[in-house]
Parts: sequence; C-alpha cells; structure tokens
Amino acid sequence: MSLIDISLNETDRRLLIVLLIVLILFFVLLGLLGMLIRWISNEFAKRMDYELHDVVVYRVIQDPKSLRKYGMIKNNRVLFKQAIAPFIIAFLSLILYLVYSSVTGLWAKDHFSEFSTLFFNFDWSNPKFYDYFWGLYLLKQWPDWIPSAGPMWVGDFWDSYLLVPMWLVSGVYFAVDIQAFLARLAMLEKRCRTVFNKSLDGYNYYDTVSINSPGQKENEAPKQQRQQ
Amino acid sequence: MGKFLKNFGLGLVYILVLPIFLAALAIAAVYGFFACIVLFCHATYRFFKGEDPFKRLDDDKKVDTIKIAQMNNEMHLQPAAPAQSIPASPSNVYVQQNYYQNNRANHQKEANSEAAKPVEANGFYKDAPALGGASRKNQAIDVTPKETPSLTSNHSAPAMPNRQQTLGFIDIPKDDDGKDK
Repeated sequence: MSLIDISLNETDRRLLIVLLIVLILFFVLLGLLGMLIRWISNEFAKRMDYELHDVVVYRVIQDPKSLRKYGMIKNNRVLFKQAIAPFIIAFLSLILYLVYSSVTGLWAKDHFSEFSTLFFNFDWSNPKFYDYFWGLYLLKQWPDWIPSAGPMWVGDFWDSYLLVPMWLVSGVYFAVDIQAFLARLAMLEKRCRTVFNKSLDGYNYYDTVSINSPGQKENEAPKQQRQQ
Repeated sequence: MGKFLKNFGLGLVYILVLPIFLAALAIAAVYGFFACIVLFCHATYRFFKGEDPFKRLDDDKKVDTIKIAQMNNEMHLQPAAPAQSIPASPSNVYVQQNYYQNNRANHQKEANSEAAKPVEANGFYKDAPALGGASRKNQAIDVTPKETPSLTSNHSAPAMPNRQQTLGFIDIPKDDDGKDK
C-alpha cells in the first residue's frame, strides 16, 4: 500500500498533460510580459535623470535627503502633467454619465454588459465545458459561441459604447502613468544611493600611487615615506 | 532552450511578485490621485493669482543663477576669434600683390631709371624721382592722418589731402590682374 494513492485514468492523464503545457506556456508568456514591463519602466525612469541632472551636476544639492525631497516634488509634478489627459477623459465621461442618467433615470445600468455586445460572446457559464480534477473545476473544452449575444450593434446602447471605452482608456492611461511614477521613484532612490556614494574599492592607505589627491603633485612623497 | 527556460523562470518569479506589484500600483494610484487633486487646486489658485501654476523651486533658481554666471563669464573671457586661414583659390588670390612681392627689386631699379611716362591703363603718371614722387619703397597710399583727431580738442575735421599731396599711385598692369583676359 502506497502512502499517497494516485490513480489516473486516461482522461485525467490527458488533462494533466494539457494542463502542464498550458502552465508552461503561461509562465513563459508571463516572463516575456514582465521583461516588457521592466523595459518600459526603465524607459520611464530616464525622465527622473532628466529632472535631477542640473541640480546634481551644478552641485546645488549636496546630500541624499535634499535630493530625495527635490525628486519627490518633481515626480509629483510630472505625474500631474502626465495625468491631465486621463483625468480630462474621465471627467468628460463623468459628465456624460450624469447627464444621460439624469435624463433617462437609469442610474444602475450595466454598461459593461451592453458594451460586450460588440464582441464575440462565449458560453463560459455552461458546466459541460468543465471537468472536475483534483478538487478543481478546470476548463476541458473551449465554450461555444453564442451568436445571439454578439457581435452586433444595438442603437440603444450608444451611451455604453461611449462611456465604457472612455473609462477603460482613462483607467489604463492613469495606470501607465502610475507605473511611470513608480519607475521614477525607484530611479530616485537609486540615484540617492549612488550619486553621493563614497567607495573605497581599490584604495589602500599605503598605496603610494593612489594616495596622491588630485591637487597634490606627483613628486610629493607622502609623509610616511619622507619619514623613512 | 536556455532562453525559454529563463523566461519560464522569470514567469514564475513574476507571478510570485505580481501581488506585491499590484498592491504597490494600487497604493501609488491612490496617492497619485490625491496628489493630482492637491496639485490641481494649488496650481489653479496660483494661476488665478496671476502667477505660474507651479512655483519655481529654490534649487532650480540656484541652477539658473549658476548657468547665467557661467555664460557671462564665458562671454567676457572669450578671446578674439583667431583669423581663419583661407586656403588659396582663384577667387582670393590677388595677382597684383604677388607681383609686387616677387618683383619688388626689379621695380625699384626701373623706378629709379625710368622717366615719367603715362600709364596706358589709367592715364596717371608713374611716380618718378624726377617729378618729385615717392620712391617705390613708399608704394602704399598713406591714408593715416598726420595728426590724430581728438573728440575733446577744438580741431575741426581734418582736411582731405588734395591730388597734389598724393605721394604715389599703385601701378596696376593690365596684364597681371588676371581679370581682363
């Protein structure tokens, strides 16, 4: 008698293989997506270097604390400027929603389901497309398309066709701006650590070559050598 | 295959980090939303006061001061631009100058020996010792006034030299200027 009894029939074995392949592909895609997001974040972070450049190069700011404070103010201002566009879109959608709802009296209308009539709709809720596997209901077959649910244009849903894209665009736009804000914040922290960094790597007190300061003449021997 | 495995591993890492990233994004979104509202109110207030929407930071002002000082310093310390040496070309080589530099000795001899005779090109007489003209050594026209006028003195404008005071003329042989050909 084994400790864990695992008995798989043919269907379970097939499902397991499919699940493994799907999982591997999912992780690979997620890795690629993460790399893309990291690259975009690095591009966004360059803006912080642009903002900090002058005050650092002209040595106006001389400690990490002041640099962090200055960088935060600049970062907030950049976020505000970048967020103007999504805020305007969101504001317009709010006005449209208020006007439409006050005129029609439909305040709790499901705009998203109305907007989904523009796309293909599948029968996700049907249990026959799922299988029970190790305590989980997993999708075993792609669900059927429901032709009556779309894609089609319904004239009465014009408000949803306007409002939902505006909400989505403003939301995604603001999320991208927030991602840029976080990327700049990370860059600011990095610069605060590295710009004022004093490193003693490769330095030795008794090293006669590197002991000379830039202003010291080369033929000036250190005190220790002169005493000898 | 290695890259595929690397992406697979990164995907695993990212799915572990994803909740943290989303939480950070949500917190930053809330912070950014309120920061934008505060900045908007502040900028609007300053705008209707007739000022710039965002106050210029002191550090930026210091940077501007340093930049302006540097520019002024460079402008005052900038030396005069060195004369550019133009390479020789047919448009800027003056045959007349070369002629006199190369044949100065010959002309001196000719000037001393020749009698005054009209020049065929312009009708003027060559300067000759017999006519009281200057020698070839004083070939150039002397346009510098003998007395330097001063704005503070009571002197009137210096009199223009008349034709009789002219010391000599530059001889421009027709064949040597290279333009009449």
